[in-house]
Amino acid sequence: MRIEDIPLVMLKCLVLTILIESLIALLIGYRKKDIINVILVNAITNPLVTSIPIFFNVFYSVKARNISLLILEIITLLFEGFIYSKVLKKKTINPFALSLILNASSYGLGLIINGM
Amino acid sequence: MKKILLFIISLMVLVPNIVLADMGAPMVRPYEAEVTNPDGAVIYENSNNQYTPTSKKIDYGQTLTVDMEEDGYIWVSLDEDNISGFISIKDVTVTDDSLKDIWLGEKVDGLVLVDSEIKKGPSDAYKSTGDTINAGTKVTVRRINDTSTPWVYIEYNGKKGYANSYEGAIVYKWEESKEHLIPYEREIRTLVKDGYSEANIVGKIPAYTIIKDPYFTDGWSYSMYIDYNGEKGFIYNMTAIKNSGNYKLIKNSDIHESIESDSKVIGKLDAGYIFKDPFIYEDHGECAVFYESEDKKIKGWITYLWDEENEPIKKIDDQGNVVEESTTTKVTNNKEKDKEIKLSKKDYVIMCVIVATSVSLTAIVTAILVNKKNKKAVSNEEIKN
Repeated sequence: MRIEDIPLVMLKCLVLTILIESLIALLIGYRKKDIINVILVNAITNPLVTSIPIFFNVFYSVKARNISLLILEIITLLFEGFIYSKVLKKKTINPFALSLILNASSYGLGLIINGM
Repeated sequence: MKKILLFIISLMVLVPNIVLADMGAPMVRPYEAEVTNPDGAVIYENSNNQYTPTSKKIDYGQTLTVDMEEDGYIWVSLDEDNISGFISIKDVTVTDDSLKDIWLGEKVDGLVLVDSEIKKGPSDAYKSTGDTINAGTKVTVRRINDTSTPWVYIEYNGKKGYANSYEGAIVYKWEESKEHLIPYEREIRTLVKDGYSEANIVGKIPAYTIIKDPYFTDGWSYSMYIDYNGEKGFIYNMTAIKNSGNYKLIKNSDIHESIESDSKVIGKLDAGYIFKDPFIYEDHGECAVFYESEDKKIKGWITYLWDEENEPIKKIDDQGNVVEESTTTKVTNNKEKDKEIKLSKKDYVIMCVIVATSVSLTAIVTAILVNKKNKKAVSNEEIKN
């Protein structure tokens, strides 16, 4: 990847993550207002989770990138769970569990897409 | 309590995997390598680009993760042994050949000038594929999208792999290869493995020769590879590049003998003259447009500084109207100039982080507003009921 491609790659990550997680949320039974919140939450977290590890990779090392990614992912899971607990109308699933499910889903599909 | 425990266990199991999948911005991948020099790998210190051996060594068989490689040395840091420094790439061999994350550029035509060993990865630390491509072979080249490396990916007759194009061992066509006009008589030099100043002169190419679609190497100066009447070699790559379209001279101008603005004036050209597909030279803001009279008796240059207000020529459309965007601002035949204009790698990354933060903040604000609106709507409904 050229350094110039970073914005495009970040955009692709964001769009894919939003698409996948919205779809899964729909399948689980969430509807319009909750889906909008899922999209917004991912728009908050995803750009930072993608760009900050790149920063660490370029300025420090791959090790630093991996550590930052791990920390950011944990923070993201907790943050998203917290936000879902506050904003989602549908309360059938534990918001933190929902955060886990949605992020794990984007992992699985991300693997498939990367494999392609 | 049980739920919290389950959640933590799930986190520990799933997060590492999520981290893997969420790495949507792969870089040129670091690789695992093993010290294969039986005497171990000497640690070097780098001071002012000089590598000086120290008394420390990394033992034979030690596995390392290589994420930075430069000038044939790799940076290593082993916390457990309190060792950090550089080791020679020749002392290690890559242990993991899978290279999914190396991003390659478009396929372009290439030419091998020196017998090249094909490796499994873009470094001398990788094992050979067992193939060698002989000098003179035309190949397909894909550059690695990390412009600091001379390693390229090549394909030929079923053979695939990476080879080192350093010092013109392999040349290839830039995606933007165009017609070039040589402004001065130039020496044709062999560059391969000799370095620019030590390279032999094998011939000369006269001024005003037009070169079509040449090969390039990734060197700075002597980087254009040509075959001129059987004389093959590299020439200094500062040339006038052909710009397609019509350009109008908007002010009376002197015709100079050469691209130098202080060179002898050999004629004058009136405003209104139309250049068709002119050759334009540009070097650090000093520009020149090639002029040749119809009878070909006068050959010279209209010189000017790269400055929109000062440019004596403007691109025009078929109706003779000036096209707003001046293509002379896009003329670069000097890759150094491109690098001067662009942000440094680190500044670019910082800019991306800033943009990402802005997107996140915008999303936060939007989320607050959306949910506030929803809350209002819900409370209005409740009041109505």
